[in-house]
Amino acid sequence: MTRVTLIASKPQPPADDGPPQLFDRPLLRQRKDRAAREFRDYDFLYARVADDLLDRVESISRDFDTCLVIGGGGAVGRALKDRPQARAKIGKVIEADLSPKMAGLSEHPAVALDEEILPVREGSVDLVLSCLSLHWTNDLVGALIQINYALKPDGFFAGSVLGGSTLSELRASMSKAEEAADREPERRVSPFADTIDMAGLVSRAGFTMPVSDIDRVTARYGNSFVLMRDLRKMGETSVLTDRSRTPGTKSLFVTTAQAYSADYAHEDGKIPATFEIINFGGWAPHPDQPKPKRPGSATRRLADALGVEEQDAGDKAGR
Amino acid sequence: MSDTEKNPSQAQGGGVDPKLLEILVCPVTREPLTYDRDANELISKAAGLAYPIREGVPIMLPEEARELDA
Repeated sequence: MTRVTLIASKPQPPADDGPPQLFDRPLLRQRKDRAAREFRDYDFLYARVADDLLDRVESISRDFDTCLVIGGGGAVGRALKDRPQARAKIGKVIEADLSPKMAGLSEHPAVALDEEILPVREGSVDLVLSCLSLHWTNDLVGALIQINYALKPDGFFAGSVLGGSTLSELRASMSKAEEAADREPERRVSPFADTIDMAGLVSRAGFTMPVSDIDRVTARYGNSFVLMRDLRKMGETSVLTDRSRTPGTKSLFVTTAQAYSADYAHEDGKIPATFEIINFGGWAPHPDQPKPKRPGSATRRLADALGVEEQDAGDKAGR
Repeated sequence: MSDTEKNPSQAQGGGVDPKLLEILVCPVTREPLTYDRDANELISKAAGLAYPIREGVPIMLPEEARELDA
């Protein structure tokens, strides 16, 4: 099986001396624009992530005047309708999407914007929620830095992206089909971010108290044709700059469907598709936030607090 | 920032939400924007670009913006 990783084997020439353009964002916008019309019938993954994002908002014991939502085609705003507790914590909701048509699905004030050039004033919002959009950015840390910049001090950010083992079954089945047809495996399925240390990236972008965790959602489909149709309807088909330019033949997709069913089908004939969701978050820095104490500044021994005897681990104490 | 943002009449028709006007800046220059109500556009003088507003949704994408005459 050929593993598709985030790093393209052919390095892309940097556009306008910026970071390498792994993803074709104008194409992503087109795909999302096209998907917008029927998106609400296919937004289950976004609805689920929106609900999880609101869980995290509810767990915080403060209110937020202005909330900027990035991505999700209005899913967070729709989820808020059934979440009075979360709704009460948020004053004004503004929903943003790269695709003007997806932004138009919002039931709140909305804006079309590109999170790689976030047009939001410094320190102007209290809460940013990003719903399954940042996995398509060419410069994830850069986008996170701009989100941090848009937040007021002590503002909160929570986001979710699709992770590296998303659609692993489809990728494996497709590679098998291409091998069976004696073809070079092509990049037909988007790689998504590898399961990277998101908390580390959030921290690099200047957030304090960074967190991240991984969630796996398994959806069941009749066959891989239905799965691929749903991906199109979500606007989540591959927009890799280095994606395959040769359209797959019908027989390739038939062989893929056969391999998928043979390797993964449940007893009732349905196939599972894994979506790996990486959740992460952090706070915009503020002087009153708790900070770790300087190493060596403790006035009491940990062993005393735990009521145990201290044992020498063989380490030399730091200076 | 535009001085028209608190006018309640813009909530109707092709207007734009005042909060949006408050937080948005030009994605190219990061300068404040001016709301041109007649043209229903957000103007970035520094960038020489006018961002359209469609059905109340500002389109803050440089490739969608109209170039202003110098």
